Amino acid sequence: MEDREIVNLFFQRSEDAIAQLTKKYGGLMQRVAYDLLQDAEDAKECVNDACLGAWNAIPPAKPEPLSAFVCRITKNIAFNRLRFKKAKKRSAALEQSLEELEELEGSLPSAKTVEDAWTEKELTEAIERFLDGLDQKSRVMFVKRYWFAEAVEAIAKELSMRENSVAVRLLRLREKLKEYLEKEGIQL
Amino acid sequence: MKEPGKLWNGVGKIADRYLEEALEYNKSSESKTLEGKTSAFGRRKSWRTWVVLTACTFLALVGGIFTWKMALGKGGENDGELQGQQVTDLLQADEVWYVDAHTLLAGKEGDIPLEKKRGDQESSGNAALDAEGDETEAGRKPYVTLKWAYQSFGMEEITRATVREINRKLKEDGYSFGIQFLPIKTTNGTDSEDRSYQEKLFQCGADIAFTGFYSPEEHYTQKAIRAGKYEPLDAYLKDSAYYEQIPEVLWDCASYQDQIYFFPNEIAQDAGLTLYLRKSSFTREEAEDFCGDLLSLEQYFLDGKRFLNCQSDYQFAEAFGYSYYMGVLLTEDGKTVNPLEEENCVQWMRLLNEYQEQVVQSNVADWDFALSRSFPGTDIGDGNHPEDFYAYQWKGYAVPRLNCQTGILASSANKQEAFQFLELLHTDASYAKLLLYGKEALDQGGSLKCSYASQLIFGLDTGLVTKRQGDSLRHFSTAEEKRNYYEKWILPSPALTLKYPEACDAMLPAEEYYSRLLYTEDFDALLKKAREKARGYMQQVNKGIR
Repeated sequence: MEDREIVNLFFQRSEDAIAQLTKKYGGLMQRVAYDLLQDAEDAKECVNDACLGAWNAIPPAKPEPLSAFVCRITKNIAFNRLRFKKAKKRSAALEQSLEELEELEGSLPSAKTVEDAWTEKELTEAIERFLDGLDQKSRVMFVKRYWFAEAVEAIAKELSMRENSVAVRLLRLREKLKEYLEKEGIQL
Repeated sequence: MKEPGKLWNGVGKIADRYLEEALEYNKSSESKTLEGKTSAFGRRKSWRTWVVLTACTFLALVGGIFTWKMALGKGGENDGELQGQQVTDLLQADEVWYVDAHTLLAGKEGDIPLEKKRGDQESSGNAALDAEGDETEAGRKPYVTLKWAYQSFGMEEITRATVREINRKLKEDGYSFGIQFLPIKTTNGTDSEDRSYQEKLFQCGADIAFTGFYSPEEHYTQKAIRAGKYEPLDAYLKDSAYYEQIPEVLWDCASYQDQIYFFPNEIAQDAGLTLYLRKSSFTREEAEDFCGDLLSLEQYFLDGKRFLNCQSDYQFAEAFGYSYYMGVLLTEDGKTVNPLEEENCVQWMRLLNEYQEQVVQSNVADWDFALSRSFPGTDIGDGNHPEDFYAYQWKGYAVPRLNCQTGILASSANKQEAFQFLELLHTDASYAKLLLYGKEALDQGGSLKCSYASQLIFGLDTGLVTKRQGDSLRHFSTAEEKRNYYEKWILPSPALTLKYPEACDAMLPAEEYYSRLLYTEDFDALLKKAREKARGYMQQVNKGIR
C-alpha cells in the first residue's frame, strides 16, 4: 500500500491504518528501536507505542515521507525508554555514537552568555547545510551513524564497505563538521 | 545512560528528507538486513504480531479513555439532550492496568464476570438445537471437531499443546465437541492476500470464521452475508445468557439487515467526544461555564488560548447531536445529511479557520484546550496527565461494525456446537484464558503470550475478558457495570437502521475538504467547491443505503 493511502486511512480513522502502517514499516521501526534498545521485547513495545503516536499525530500531521516520520517517532520513544529505564543493556552502538558527537561537541567553542549560545534550531539548520554539501554516500553514512545510531559494522554491511573504511570516513566527517560549524561561528 | 548533548539533539532534528535518503539508499539490501535481525528477535513473525497488537491497542485506547473516572461530576447529563457530562476533573483510574502473570493466572484479576453457572451453559443456547431435534445431553451425541478459520499473521500464538489442552478440558467438562484451528496465512499482508483470504475462508470447511482484517470499505463481509455465507445467530441467542450480558446496542453493531451475525467486537464503540481544558489555563468556574456548545469555544480563542484539534473528519459534529458514520452525518430520525451543508458544522470549521494560528498541529506542542475521542496526552513525550485537565464528555454513538468479527459459517454442519463453543469462551474465564494466553503460560505462570491479537481474532475483546499488561481496553468488573455504562454513555447510531450502511463510504472522499477548509485562505470559495463535490457523493450515499 502506498504511503498516501496509509495516511488517508489515518485520516479516515480506519482501524486498518495501523495494521497497514505496521505491515509496511513494522520491520523498519522494530529495527530502529532494537538498534537503540538492544532488547527485542522493549523494541516491540516501542513499535507499539510508535503506532499509537502515529495514530495521535495523524491527523493533523500529514507526514511525507511516512518512513522518516515513523522512524522519528520510534527513535524518540526508544530514547525516552532508555532514559526511563536507565537500561543496563544499552546499545554499544548508541553509546559510541553519543560519545563521538560528545567529543566533537567538547571541542567546539562555548558561548560566554546564554544569549550567545546557538539554539537547537540554529544548530540543526547548520547541520543540514553541512549535510547538503556532502556527497550522498557520506551523507547517508552520517545519518545512519548519528541519527539511527547504527553500528559501524552494520553500516559497512549495508553500504558494502569495509568496517575500517567506514570508521575512518566517519572520523573525517566529524572533523569536517567541526570545521564547518566553527566557520559558521557556532557557540554552544 | 549518557544524556545526549546539543549536537546529538541537533542531528536528531534534521529534516525527514535526510532520513528518507538514508532509508532508500540501500533499500535493496534491507530485506537481507531484516532477516539478519530476525534471529535476534527470535522469530520472523514477531513484528507481524504487533501489526494486530498495535491495531488493537490504538482501538483499545480510543475505548479505554473512559476508564479515567469522571469524578466530582456536578450535574450529570442534561436530560433529553444529546449533551454530555458537566465539566469534571479527570483522575487517574484506580484500576490497575498492569497485572502480573501470576496474579492474572491465579484468577485474582480480570476474570470474566460470570453471571451464570456451568449448568446454565449446558442448557443455554440450545433452542435451535432442540428445534432441530438433536440430542442435547452431552456425551450421547457423536463427538465432532469444530474448525475455526482465521486470518493469520502468526500473532495468535496457538500451540498444539494449547489446542490439546482445550480439547482435553472440553471432554472433561462433558462437551461433545473439540476444536481445531485453521490459520489462513497472510505472510505479506498485501491487499490481494486479504482478498484471497476471503476466498479461502469459505472453501476450507470451517465452522467458525473470523471475517478478516481487510479495510471495511471493501464490504467483503456484507457481500458474504448477502450471499448467505454466514449463519444468522438470532435463534441461537434467543435463550443465551451471554446475550443478556452484552449491551443491546453492541448486538446491533454486529447485525446486518436486522439479523445478528457475530459475537460483538466493541472496539472503538465505547467513546464519544471529550473537550479537555488544561487546569493551568482555565479556572474551574470557567470550565464549568461550558455547557456543550462547541461554537461557544470562540471565547477561548478570543482569549488567545491554543487549541489541539484531534478531529480529522466531521466527527466533531457529534457535539451538535449528529451521528457520524463514514463521512456522513445522521440526524436523530435517521436522515443522512451533508456536513458541509449544516450551518453549525460550517460555523465550527470557519471558526477553526479564522483562528488557525491558535490551532496547534501536534500533541507535543503547548495547548490549552482540545477536542478528542481519546486522551490527547497519549502522544509521546508531552507529559500530559489526566489529572491536569477538566473534561466535558459527550455521549458517543455505536455504529455498524462487521469487520474483524467472529461468526459461524452457514455451511457448517455443526452450527449448534460452534455456537456453544463461542458462548463458552465468552462466559467461562478458564477457556478464555487458555485461548488467549496458551497452556504454557497457564502452566508456567511466566511471561504471558500476547493477548491483543487473540482478543481481536477470537472476538474476545468485549471488555469483560482478562486484562494483561498494556491492555488499555476499557475493563468492566461485571456485565452489569458494562451494560450500565453503555446505557448512560453510548447511543445507537441511526446508521444501524440503514439497510446498506456501507454505502455511506461514498462520502469519504469529501473528508479531504475538512482539513483543507481549516487552513484555506479563501474559506467561502473552497466551501462552495466542496459543497458541489459533496452533493454528488451524497447522492450516491442516499441511492445506496436503502
